[in-house]
Amino acid sequence: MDDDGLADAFRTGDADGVRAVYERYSGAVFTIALRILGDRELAADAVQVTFLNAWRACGSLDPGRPLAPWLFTIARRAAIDLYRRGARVPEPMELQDETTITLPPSMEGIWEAWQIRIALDMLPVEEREVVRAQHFGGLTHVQIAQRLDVPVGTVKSRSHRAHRRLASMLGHLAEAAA
Amino acid sequence: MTPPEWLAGYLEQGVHMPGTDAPDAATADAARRLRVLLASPDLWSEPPRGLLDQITASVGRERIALTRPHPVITRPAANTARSANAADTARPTANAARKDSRRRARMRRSAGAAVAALLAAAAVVIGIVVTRGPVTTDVALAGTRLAPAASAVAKLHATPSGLAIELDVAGLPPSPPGFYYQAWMKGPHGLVTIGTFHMRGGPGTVELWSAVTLAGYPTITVTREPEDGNPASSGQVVLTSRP
Repeated sequence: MDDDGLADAFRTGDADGVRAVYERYSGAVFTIALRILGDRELAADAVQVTFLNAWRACGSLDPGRPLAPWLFTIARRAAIDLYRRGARVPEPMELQDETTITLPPSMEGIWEAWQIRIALDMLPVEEREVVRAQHFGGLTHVQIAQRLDVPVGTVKSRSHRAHRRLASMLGHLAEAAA
Repeated sequence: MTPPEWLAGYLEQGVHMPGTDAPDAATADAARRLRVLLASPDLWSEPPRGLLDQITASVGRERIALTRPHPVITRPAANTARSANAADTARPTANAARKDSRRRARMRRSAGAAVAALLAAAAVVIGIVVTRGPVTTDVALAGTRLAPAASAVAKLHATPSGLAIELDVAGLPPSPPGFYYQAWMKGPHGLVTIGTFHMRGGPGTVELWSAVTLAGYPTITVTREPEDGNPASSGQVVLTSRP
């Protein structure tokens, strides 16, 4: 289903519409919430708040307007609100160096993370598995082949196809920076 | 323009592939950043299982709250009073009047008493309308991580004195000793408290009052507060209508 179809389904508010949008974008929402908040539980709260707020506001989403950037704005705002609120909550914690100041990541970094996560989630499962093992797991093609119990040639071809897809989906980020 | 084959090769290998055109420094930096992000744990983390169920449940609750018909306050007393007045002003013929003068007098007395009673009833109903106002808005609140089983519906009534709010709360545990719950309305201009409560009598309706409107302060929250004399919000939100 394309974004227009997703937005229409979401607007109805029925469980299938909410589920479809969640399945497409929950990973990306969780990723940026985690980057902003640095805490899985708070990030989960941010995901919940994001989808509820998005559902409440979906009547204002103009037909034809892309869903992803709109949802990104809501997700980022939800996470930052929780971040600011968390700063006021007195929680027991170990003594820390008082000079340590933690700042949320930059807007640019959050946007890039959002885009990359969406691109990763659009990869076919077997290609995504190889990319994950290579970048996150730090494995070589040979190690990945052993782990997945497939020939090295299969891993190489999956990796090649996956990175071409990623380059196609993420090329605009590199161009925007130039 | 970034050659896709160059970017694909760089993302895969982390080096400039021979035979591809190397881009400018800014593009190379951006590609390097993308490759670093690909190794970040955040990029591969999944939201907890069960979150979708919580979200669909919350959406379902809000849909029900939004579609629930608002109570309609009718004014039967006023209509009946008009009917009574009409009946009172209807004039029978002179002959009939002469024949039944006593009966008419009794009827007028009865009608007068009925009108008085009905006007009194109308005054009560109108009084309720004026002091409480019709239900204008229902706002659903969902429990946060601090009270995931909690939910509430706030029924807002506009009155000349302010906004009367009936908060119908479910699933919120009684506040422990030394703590209480505090309700707030939040907007671009800040945070306004609308009352405190403890829920120690079990689930039920809490009556709150607000001097600010929902238009200016669109978010309703409930926080858990320590009895420490500090009037500021603890930030420990247990129920919220939004972040």
